[in-house]
Formats: sequence, C-alpha cells, structure tokens
Amino acid sequence: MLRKEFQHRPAWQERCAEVGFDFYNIPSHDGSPYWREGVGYELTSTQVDYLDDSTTELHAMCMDLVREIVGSGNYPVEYGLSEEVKTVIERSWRRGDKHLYGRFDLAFDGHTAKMLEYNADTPTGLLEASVAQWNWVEEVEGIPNRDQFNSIHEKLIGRWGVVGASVAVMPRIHFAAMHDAGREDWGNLEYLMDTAVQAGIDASLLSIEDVGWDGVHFVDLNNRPIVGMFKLYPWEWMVADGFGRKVMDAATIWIEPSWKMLLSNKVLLPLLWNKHKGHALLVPAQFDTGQKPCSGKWVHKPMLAREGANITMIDGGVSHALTGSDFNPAYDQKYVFQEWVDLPRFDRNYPVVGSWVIGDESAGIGIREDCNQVTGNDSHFVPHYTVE
Amino acid sequence: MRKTRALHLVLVPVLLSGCGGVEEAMQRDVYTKFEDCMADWGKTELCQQMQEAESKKFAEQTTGVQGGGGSHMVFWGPSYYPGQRSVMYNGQTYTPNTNLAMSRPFMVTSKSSLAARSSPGTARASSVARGGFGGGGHAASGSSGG
Repeated sequence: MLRKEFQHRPAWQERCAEVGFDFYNIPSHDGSPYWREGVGYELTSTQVDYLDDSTTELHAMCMDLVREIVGSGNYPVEYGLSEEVKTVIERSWRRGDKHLYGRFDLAFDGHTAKMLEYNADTPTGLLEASVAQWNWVEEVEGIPNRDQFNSIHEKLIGRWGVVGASVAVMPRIHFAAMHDAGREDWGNLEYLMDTAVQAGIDASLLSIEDVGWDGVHFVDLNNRPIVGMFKLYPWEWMVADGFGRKVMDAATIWIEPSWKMLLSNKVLLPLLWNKHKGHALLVPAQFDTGQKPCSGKWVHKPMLAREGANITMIDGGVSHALTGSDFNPAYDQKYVFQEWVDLPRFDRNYPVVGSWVIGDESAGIGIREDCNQVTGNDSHFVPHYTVE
Repeated sequence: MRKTRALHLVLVPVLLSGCGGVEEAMQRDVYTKFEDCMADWGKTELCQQMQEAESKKFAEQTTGVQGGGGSHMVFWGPSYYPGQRSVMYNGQTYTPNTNLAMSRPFMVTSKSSLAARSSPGTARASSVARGGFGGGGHAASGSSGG
C-alpha cells in the first residue's frame, strides 16, 4: 500500500459535482476540501484479495451473530433493548427483511486488517467510493494502472432488485433523511435512490420529519401508505422517537431492516471478540462496566455515536482526550473499550479503509485519511487504484 | 483484476416529492427545436426527441387532425410538477429562467390523484399525524450517517 501524488485533473471540481458529489468541497478545520484531489493510494491485487476475503469473513461473522441472538432470544443486556424493540427485530429477521449495505472500517497497513467498527445501518461516503473515485481512476494522468477495487455501483443496482422484489411485485420505495442532515447525507440518499430507480424501483424522496401516521399506516405527503422505506436515519433514533412504538404496528418494510440494530451498535465489538477470541481480523474489546483497564492502551468508544464523537484513549489506566474527537452529550451514554490499534501513517496521514458490503458481498473500498488517529468529520476522502 | 468491473453509470432524472406529491399530474414542455430545450434546461440528458408514435399522437391532440397533419420533429423537456418548473437530476436542481417551449406544457400523467383522494388511506387524511420521526437527530444535532 502506497500513497502517491498525481496531477489534479482539469476541472475536477465540475467532474465531482456533475455526478451529484457536490459536497466534495466540505471544508475541514484547515479549510482543505473533503475530496483530496492530487493523491491516490496504490494497492496490489494481493492486498485487494485480502481485503475482499476479510470483508466477506467479517460480514459472515456478523450475520452468524444476529442469527444466534435472534434464534436463541438471548439478547445481551448491554444492548439495552426493550421487549417491544426485541419484537420488532425478531419479526424483521424471521420475515427475512433484506439488507442493502454496510461498511466496515478497517485499520489496514498493507498486510493485516483489523476491524475498528461496522457501520451497518446508516453508512455514508458511498457516492464518493462508488462513482467519484471511479471517475478519478479513469481520468487522472500518470496512473500506472486504471483499475480499482470497486464494483459498488453494479452490486447496488443488483441488490436493489432483490430488496425491491421483497417489498412488492411493483416496488415503490420511499427514501428519507432528516430535513437538515446536510448535503453529504442527502447526496448519498439521492445516489442510492438513483441506483434503485435503475433497478426498476419506483422511488420518491421525503424528509423523515414528513412521514405521517394515519392510524394504520405510515404515509407519505400524499397520505399514501409507505410500503417500503429506505431511511438514512439510525434505528436507535427511530425507536426512541414519538413514532417509535408505531413501527411495531405498521407493515412498512424498512431498509436497512431493524435487525441491523444488533450490528450497528458497538456492543458488537466485545460480542464478536468474545465469540471469536484471538481472531486475526478482530481487536480485543470489552464492555465498560465502570472499571478502566489498568494496563495497556485502549480506546473508550460510545456504543452509539457518529463521526468519531466522544472517543477517548486510556493509557495505563489514565484517560486522554483525542484530537479529532468532539464531545457530544447526546452520545454520552454507554461505552465499550477497544484495544488501541495504531493506524498506518503515510505522509503524516492516517488512512482508514471503508470496506463496503452490498447484500452479502464484498463490493469495494473507499479510503478516508485524517491527520489524527480518530477518523471523524475532519477526514478526507482519497481515491485509490490497484496494480498487479 | 478479479475484483473490479467497469462502471456503467446510467443516471436518470429523479424528482423530489414535495408537498405537491408524486402521484399528482405531471407535465412536460414540448419544443420544436432541440436547441430551444437546451436553452431552457441546459442539459442534454433532460431533452429528448419524441418517438414517432408519440409525436403523431401529440400532433393529433394539439391540432385535432387525424395523423397529426404531417410529420413533426418534436422534443420533450423533463417531467415536472405543475407550478414547480424544476427538476432534480443527478443531485442537481435545474430551474429554467427562460421558456422557449411551444404554447402550454403537455400533461403527461394524471393517473391517480383523484383515486388517491378517495382511497381508504386518504379518508383518514384529516387525522394524519406528522413529525413523529426526526427527534433523535435533532437532539444529536448532526448527520444521520456515519
């Protein structure tokens, strides 16, 4: 794995914007844009094969865990799930509600990968991984090989065919995000809607706040029942909202399905570690029961949080704030400890590999790098290419 | 490399469902010249030539003459909702400042707005509650994605 510099493509900003990636220029603290033009990571085919196989294996381990929990009815208490939510999860799993996608965040040094977390419910960074970096690999000058670990787009369209067929014969799926979620979320949502349309799905868009309840159904702004809904809105917020209890009553099929609550929570990290202790792709993790680990270096992560919020480091029993992680009281609830993993460093940048799963298949990667070891809102997306 | 395939990006126009709604009538501007459509909408993908059968039917409806009174070269602009001459394509919104279309826009769908109003779901329209989702996100005041 190498980090190399390239000439900027002419009018690269327009090339990003014209595929809907108009948030390429979201500024970080230093003012630099989110999309890093002029740099690319080089991976070998051996490295790609390794990442591909690792992602497939991790996803299979996650699915086994869900199967085991729902099958036994033994929901670890650390999830903090109410009986109603467990019923929603169980119904969704037993009904075979289809999942669309997820993204593993991996520390990868070119030789070994370690799973840092699994964004199984509302991953973003999809449009840039699928389309924007593909355009880059096709257009940038001086690249040794125009190839990339990326079949996200085709797999998404294919998977929508499966998901759509599970919703209805002539599927109509509503797509929703928070009204003020910002261009990054809406850009990802529009891209997903576009891939659904290409799979023959009748799609429409609305804000999650505009979803209505008519006493029997969730309804759209025309008061038509919502049969299938893709929501870029986390399950833990949905079930806590005013309409949360109505999720139990409605026939709406949700994408991602509610059983993803068992994977999109960092409770997953100690559960996977306890089940597969010593596995090469996993990092030692444990629940925070009020005792800090006395020795070694650990990361203290909220069970439910986004954008690298509320992460601290424990070293020799002492807590340290981490640059790149902001505190958000909304996420200050339950935590897990995960053993510290040193990210590889390339030209003063720490990359994290976001490895996409579409359906049950590994589909490609997107790399974000940060000048801090916490990959948060200040990170930059860097395209990649592959060589033999 | 076995993990990679070329992308075939066939992006299609999508329309925002605002308060007007998806099932209401939609309309399209009709142009005699492709250049006029481009001048209005500014994007090749938003302008398309009518199929021959469509063109004939359109001519019949607009002239009242069986067969349309001869051959016509006619172009469609994109579909949009009445009162909102704007479409979203590929993440970008296109709202023309000019209007070089022929006469009035052509209604292209009106299929179920009336039906929807008499449906069981809509019979309860007056009791539809909204705003029951979104609270968690506002409390966290951040992106839903990760």
